[in-house]
Amino acid sequence: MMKPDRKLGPQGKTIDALHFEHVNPTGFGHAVPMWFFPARDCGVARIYLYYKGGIAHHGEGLLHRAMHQLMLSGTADSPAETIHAALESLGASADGSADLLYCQHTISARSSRLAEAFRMFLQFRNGAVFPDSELDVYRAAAASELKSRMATPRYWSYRKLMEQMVGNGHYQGQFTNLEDYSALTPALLRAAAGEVWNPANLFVVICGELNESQLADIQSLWQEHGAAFEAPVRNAKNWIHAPHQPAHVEHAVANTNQVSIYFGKSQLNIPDSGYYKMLVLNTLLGGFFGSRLMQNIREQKGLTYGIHSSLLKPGPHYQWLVSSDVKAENKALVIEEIKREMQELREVSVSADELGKVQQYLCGNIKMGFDGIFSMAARVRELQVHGRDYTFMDSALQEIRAVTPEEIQSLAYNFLDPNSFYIASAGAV
Amino acid sequence: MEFTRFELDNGLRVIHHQDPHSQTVILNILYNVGARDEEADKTGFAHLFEHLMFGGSVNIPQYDKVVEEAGGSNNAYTSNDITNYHISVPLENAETAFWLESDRMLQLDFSQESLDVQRGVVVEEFKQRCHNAPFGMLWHHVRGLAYKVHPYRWPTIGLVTEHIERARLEDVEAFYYRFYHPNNAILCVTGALSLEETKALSEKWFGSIDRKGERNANRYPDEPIQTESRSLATEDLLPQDAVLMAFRTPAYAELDWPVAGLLADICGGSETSPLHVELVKEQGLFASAEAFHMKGLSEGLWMVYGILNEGRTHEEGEAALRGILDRCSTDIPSEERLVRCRNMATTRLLFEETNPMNRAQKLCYYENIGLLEHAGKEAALLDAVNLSHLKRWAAEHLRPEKSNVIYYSPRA
Repeated sequence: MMKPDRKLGPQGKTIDALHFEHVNPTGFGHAVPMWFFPARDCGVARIYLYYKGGIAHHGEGLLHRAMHQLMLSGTADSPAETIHAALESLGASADGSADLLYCQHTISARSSRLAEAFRMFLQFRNGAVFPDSELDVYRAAAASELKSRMATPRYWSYRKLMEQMVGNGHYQGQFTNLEDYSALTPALLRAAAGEVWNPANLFVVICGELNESQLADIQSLWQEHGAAFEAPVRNAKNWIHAPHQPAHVEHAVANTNQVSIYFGKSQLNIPDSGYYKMLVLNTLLGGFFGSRLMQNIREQKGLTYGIHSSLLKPGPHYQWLVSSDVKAENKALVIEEIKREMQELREVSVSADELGKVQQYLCGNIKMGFDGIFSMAARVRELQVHGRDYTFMDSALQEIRAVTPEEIQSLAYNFLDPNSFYIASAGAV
Repeated sequence: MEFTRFELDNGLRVIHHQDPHSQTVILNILYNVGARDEEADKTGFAHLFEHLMFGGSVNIPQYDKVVEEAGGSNNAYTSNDITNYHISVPLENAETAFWLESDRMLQLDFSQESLDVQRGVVVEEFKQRCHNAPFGMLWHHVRGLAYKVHPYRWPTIGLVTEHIERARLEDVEAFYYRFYHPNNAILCVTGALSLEETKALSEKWFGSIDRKGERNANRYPDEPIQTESRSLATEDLLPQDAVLMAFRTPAYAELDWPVAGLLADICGGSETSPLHVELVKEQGLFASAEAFHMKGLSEGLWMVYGILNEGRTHEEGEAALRGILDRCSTDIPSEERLVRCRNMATTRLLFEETNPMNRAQKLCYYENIGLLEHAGKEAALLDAVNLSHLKRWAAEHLRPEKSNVIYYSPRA
């Protein structure tokens, strides 16, 4: 066998094609859109029910998060343990969770038992009474978890950033105070459960190994047991922009020996069509291991275990965040370095070589993101957030490849002025 | 799970498992070295070394840059038993992954600069995970209490940051030459690549690397059988009092982990368990409580803990946990509970195996302990567990004199 050329090596080839089977949404019943991604030879399947309305932007986040987490905590006839035992006997689970934009339920089971698990889920969901006893248990567990988070620098840097950047009003789900839990009542939870049942608030993704008959059974159950749709459409509201000018807020946290730093900027008015251009810029700044922030602050200077930037869309507008946990005495240096990297992107055009690396990394990630039976649910959800049709994936790679150094510099100039970012640091300040 | 195993002349064991539905190729490499192979005054070294593996090799100065230019992603983790590296690339760049992984096995490019930087990074990781996170020092406390002789007595991150700060370049080189060679590694290739291509690329890129050393014999001091209960009262970054109990369990290869795992599920694995229903819901003693089993190659740990509600004492918590554990050998295991927990565990296995990365890591793990034929057959082991196994196991392992009890309080 020929000796390999180790110096030159097989460098990565350009990734320019996605291979995936188009799956278009179909009706799930009650005019709710549904995507089904079939898989073979795995023996399991999962239903994702996504509800528009997350913890950040409706001013009622805590209520909706609690409602989803407590959905299977009891009916008039069955206490929580009976419900969970029934699901467990099938080897199935049904979990509720909430993030910034969506609440969701996932029902997971072996393929042959998913329909039965879904039937149980609908029955228990429709009959949910949110008993006081379970609410008390939830309050104690949630308060304990919240107090744990409140002991960390990371919690306070994020909270302090958000308080000055977007105000308090839209963070009830994320930054609850202990007393907020006492305001939850079964009546409020029941009312909230009814609010999400509007086709315009819902979409469904099913992934896994299901034959036609099993899928039809699930759709029939939805048709039969889906509750009446009378709730109002929940439109995402924009966050209120804080009245403050960007500033640096510090917050001391006892018993800590690091400082957690957050940079943030909200109200970014980016059209959905420009999302992938901004994604390239964010990746270049701090969105992957080879990013400028990671290479400078971790790999060259060893000042942190990790530094990341992210571009989120918690409402109609985008939000940019940069975060890192550092040694207390390095706080000022890291803040200056973050600002310097932002400024450099504004002033100096990125090289074709560096831009090409970022584009190749993103294309590879998108391509590999189609692998895995359950990853498609996240892809569909992401496209919904960014206002794109599923068929957009056809052109995603081309759109990323088309971004030029000039566009990157122009976007950086418009959006990355370091003086326009709010800063919060917490811990051993 | 279908797979093919072959071995190169230099001792590298290769496992191939194809997924015809995938567009990705995953290379998972397990090196048979973990924190249990460290010296007592140089703890945290295996994990520090894992960071240095990304510092460049003799022909590839920037490992991550090449991965990213191939559209790939990569990561690694270190445990007390092993160090595991994985890289995923789109199929068209499969060979790049072979080049990258083989080159750092061939010869890592040691540098004082890289060591200096990564020492700083790992010290900050230590602080972030251990000093500035709730229950951050948990594994320091649990391992320090349960083990007095075996190197399991320290956690992967290391006992103290000073051990990491003191690491020298000559230590790094010695560690590499001792453990990072083909004969001490297992490569698993999963995803879209065919067996023929896997064989050809493995031979091409790894076949020319010298055998270099002997396989790690994994010999460690025997931890004496525990004959009396141990306890510790300590403080950590947490908001409420808590009680934790840990019991040592047999080595993974003894294959009694299905019994230990199912007993943990039955006792405290879900909202239907006695731990939750009786102690959280009915008695209001704990805000949350859980039991779980952590597998290990030398030994495992069976753990139960509860976070106390305000006004409740550590002593009350310990007595209640002991009450539940006492009943694990009598009335808590029931046929109905066993069936439910087994169904859940079996379904969980199926879901885990939908992820090709999990399959790759599992195949490497089983090969490392000489039990490759068991990979993908865990459900049969779960099926074989009956009530008498559970009760006998509880009576043998969850005895008061084998308990390690920690009373946690918020840091003053």
